[in-house]
Amino acid sequence: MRARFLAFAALTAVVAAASAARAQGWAELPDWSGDWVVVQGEADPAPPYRAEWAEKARVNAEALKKNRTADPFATCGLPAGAPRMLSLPGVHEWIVRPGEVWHAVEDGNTVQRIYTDGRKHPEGDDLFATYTGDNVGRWEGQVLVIDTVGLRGDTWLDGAGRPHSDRTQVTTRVRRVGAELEADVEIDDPVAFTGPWKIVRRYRRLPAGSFVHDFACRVIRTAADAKAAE
Amino acid sequence: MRITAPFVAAMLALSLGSAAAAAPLRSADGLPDWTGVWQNKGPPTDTDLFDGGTAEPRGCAALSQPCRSHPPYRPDWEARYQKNLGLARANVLPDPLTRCMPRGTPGNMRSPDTIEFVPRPERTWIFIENGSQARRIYTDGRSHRTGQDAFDNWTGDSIGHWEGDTLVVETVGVKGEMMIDRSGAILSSKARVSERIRRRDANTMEDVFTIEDPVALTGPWTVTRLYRKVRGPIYDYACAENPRNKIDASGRTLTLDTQGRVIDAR
Repeated sequence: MRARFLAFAALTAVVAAASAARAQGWAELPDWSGDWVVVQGEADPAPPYRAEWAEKARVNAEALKKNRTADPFATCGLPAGAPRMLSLPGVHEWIVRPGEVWHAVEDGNTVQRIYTDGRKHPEGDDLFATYTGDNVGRWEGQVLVIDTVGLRGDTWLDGAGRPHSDRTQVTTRVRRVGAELEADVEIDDPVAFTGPWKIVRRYRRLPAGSFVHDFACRVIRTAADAKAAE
Repeated sequence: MRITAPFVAAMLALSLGSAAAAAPLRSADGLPDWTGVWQNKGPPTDTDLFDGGTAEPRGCAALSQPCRSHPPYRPDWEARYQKNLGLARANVLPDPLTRCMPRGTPGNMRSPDTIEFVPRPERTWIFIENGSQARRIYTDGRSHRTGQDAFDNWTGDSIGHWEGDTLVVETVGVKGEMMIDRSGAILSSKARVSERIRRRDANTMEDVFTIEDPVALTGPWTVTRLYRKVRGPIYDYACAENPRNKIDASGRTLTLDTQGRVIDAR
């Protein structure tokens, strides 16, 4: 009896796993439409940096105090990348369709493509480092679980200059909590961290009828350069 | 044909006028399948982007890309276009894209690299890899922006509605004087761009533009763009990574090989 129950439990688990991997239809997907902006919450805990990476973070923070353009994203043309894009100012959109979710941010025309069609991360030479990485997602009910790998090591984790290595892996769980969207983010980096760094980003919806504006970073920079040259 | 209640409601709404405002939000299941990654069908390299003699895309017929007609410019705008054509022929017409600037609507639909069409009931997004650039077409029944929201920008103010599986888009509020292709065609900020976007067959997306511009053009200018389905994925775009090409004393942008050596004829 016990053996038969265990076999049944195992079968149930297999069926559950198979249905989780199946691409969802429109009716099963949550409504995350609209325009979202980051809710400023309490400060993030300090990342669990190894000593030499804590020093890199300190150097970046010092450079930022002297000149905002120490930030690679501030010079235009280089994307903020993941996971920093979760924290960007401006409007965020979570475009949910069966098989794929797009996380689009007004700032920098940043777009992260999250494949929920059951594919796996590419392997070998096909997995090369990019700014937003390779994002495979799955739906656990109304929760989107994103696994991000294939990130470059030269972007920052946030606007404070916190660095990371090219071995970073990010697990992001996005869900609706009341009127807000919440992203629980776990950042693992075996090179830079001694353990996982967990942060939370929350988003509130702008009133219906809001617009997302286009973004031309070079225009802002050109104006800033002209002012600096005066 | 089965007459359904929503159909009757839609016909009733149409007969009452103000179709765009009254059109019900399309159901998600009723959206056409535009999934995948697409690429402008056209001459493959920058140097072949147009025929210096006619200003029409070179080899467009051979690539089953319809040749676009010459813009029906008013005389003063034709003179400006001819000046740009001269610069383009001499390879000294700077394309905003090469300076990490957006090209804007409708020129962004003629960008290099790949493009995605992402429909949802309330909006359709067009993501353009080069730039990167993003267009948002609102299909939730709203009107064009008014008051202080109605300022000109690169992508403009795009409102759409569905006619069957065709997305009909009206764009106003684009910045004037923007190059819309490598030949140096320009429009004024009064341009009104209509598009009919549909999937023509399994491997082809079609965008038929009708451009009206009371300042620059004498009448409507119709241009068809086709996009072929290509293997994805679509990637990030980091414009500032591109090598800064040298510019010679005459203002010509020089072409570099993979080692950074100048390969243009002297």
